[in-house]
Amino acid sequence: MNALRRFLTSSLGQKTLMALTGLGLVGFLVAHLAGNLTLFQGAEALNEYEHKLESFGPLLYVAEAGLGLLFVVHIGLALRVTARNREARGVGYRQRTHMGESTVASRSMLISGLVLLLFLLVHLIDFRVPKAMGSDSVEDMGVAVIDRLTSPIGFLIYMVGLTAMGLHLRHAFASAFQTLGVSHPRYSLWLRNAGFGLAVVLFVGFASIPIYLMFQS
Amino acid sequence: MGSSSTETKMMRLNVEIWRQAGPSDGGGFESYKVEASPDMSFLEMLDVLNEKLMADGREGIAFDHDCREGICGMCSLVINGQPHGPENETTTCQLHMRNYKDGDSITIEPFRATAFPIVKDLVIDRSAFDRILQAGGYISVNTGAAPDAHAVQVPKVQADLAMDAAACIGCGACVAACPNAAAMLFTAAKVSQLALLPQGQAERSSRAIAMVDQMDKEGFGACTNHYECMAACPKGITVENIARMNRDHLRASFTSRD
Ligand code: HEM
Ligand code: FES
Repeated sequence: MNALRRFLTSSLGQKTLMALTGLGLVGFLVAHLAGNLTLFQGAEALNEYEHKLESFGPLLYVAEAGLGLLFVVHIGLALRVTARNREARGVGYRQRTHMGESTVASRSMLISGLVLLLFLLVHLIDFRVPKAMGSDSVEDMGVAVIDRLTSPIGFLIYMVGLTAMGLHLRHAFASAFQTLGVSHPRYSLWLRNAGFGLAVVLFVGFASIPIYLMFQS
Repeated sequence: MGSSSTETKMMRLNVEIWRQAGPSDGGGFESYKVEASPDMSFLEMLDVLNEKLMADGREGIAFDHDCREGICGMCSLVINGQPHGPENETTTCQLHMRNYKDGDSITIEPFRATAFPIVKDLVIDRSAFDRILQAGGYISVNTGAAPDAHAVQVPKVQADLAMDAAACIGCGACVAACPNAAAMLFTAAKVSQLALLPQGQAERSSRAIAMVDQMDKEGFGACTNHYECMAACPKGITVENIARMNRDHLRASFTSRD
């Protein structure tokens, strides 16, 4: 069998791809947060940032396509691997005591992922789709975003999405490194704490924006 | 020491045990009452229960065991939700009833995995592990007389890591504890014990690929890194071995010339 194909159809190969795409998505989240933080300087600053992004022209579409691919691969494999894992257990236990590093976050990866996906769809329908259709309402993206985030229902959806993101990352970051074979008593604990730290920083970072905006208005 | 007051107090326990007549039977839990002394091992408690059942003309509970000294890997059982029970790095046969007290309820289930079909009651078929080993858990050299101990020298750190991996007794507690019934800890220990030694180098790539391949074919799940396997392992095998296997498999997949 072709070596690459064998790798990609093996459980380890699929987990490796999940880890790589997952870490790619973490990179995207960090960049996205950096962009959003411009809102602290007002709607105008976000618009400026957005125009800079747009000045990349077609390259932006390439980047967006790449990002889309990361999501599709990550989610596709997540569903496949999770289905296989359920099948591998078969009949479940009547009683189960969780041990090791099993946490609420690690046990709810599929749920946090799916909530995140749902949030993502709402998010895209809010901001990306109208733009693609050339709608006027997003001429001023900064104002549109502020409107959304400070409306009670918009804020709630945003916070639910963020909570799912935080939970997902709490387990995902260190897990990805273990999957990629990066493990050593010297720094495994450090990686786990870094994953926790990353989840907190991203959650607080994203959450600070609507809260700041609400105090402002 | 005849006068010492070590008179043991018997305890009365309520045990709920998975009974299943055969592989295709549906199975279900049955409740029993049993008296046990704190000095008994967990399996001796089951022996007592079985004697009582048989004296009553009922069928005894089938469970796996062999050495009863923690080295063969035959005993299993998920006891109150934990493979091999509550004691750290202890097999079921080495678990003592002093961990329990009068009136306790104990639920006993078989190790659960599609790749470990139930034979009867608590007895499971773990031959999937044998097939993973047969796929590559060896080195292809003629075994003659034992080689001179110092013919191939191995640094202490490597030797220790290899010995730690080789402590695996193949009981399957890692599979039982894993939320995905993955056999990663077992396979990784068997890959590592050879990958860490000079004799294992020549076939290091083909071994990693063949054993992971067989592991997948047997229908075990994939690792989601909860490390429940490591917590359940009666021999303290660490998940560092899993990372090592992942590295070996990744490298082998892209560089192997076999
Ligand atoms: C920005 C979004 C996302 C990021 C940054 C992300 C990141 C990650 C990372 C780094 C991992 C660890 C991979 C590993 O352990 O090898 C992971 C695992 C996983 N992700 Fe995501 N993910 C995201 C979105 C999603 C979505 C939308 C789903 C929807 C189904 C999902 C489902 C899963 C599942 C089921 C796992 C495996 C759980 C496990 O290994 O314990 N993820 N994710
Ligand atoms: S019976 Fe041999 S390890 Fe328990």
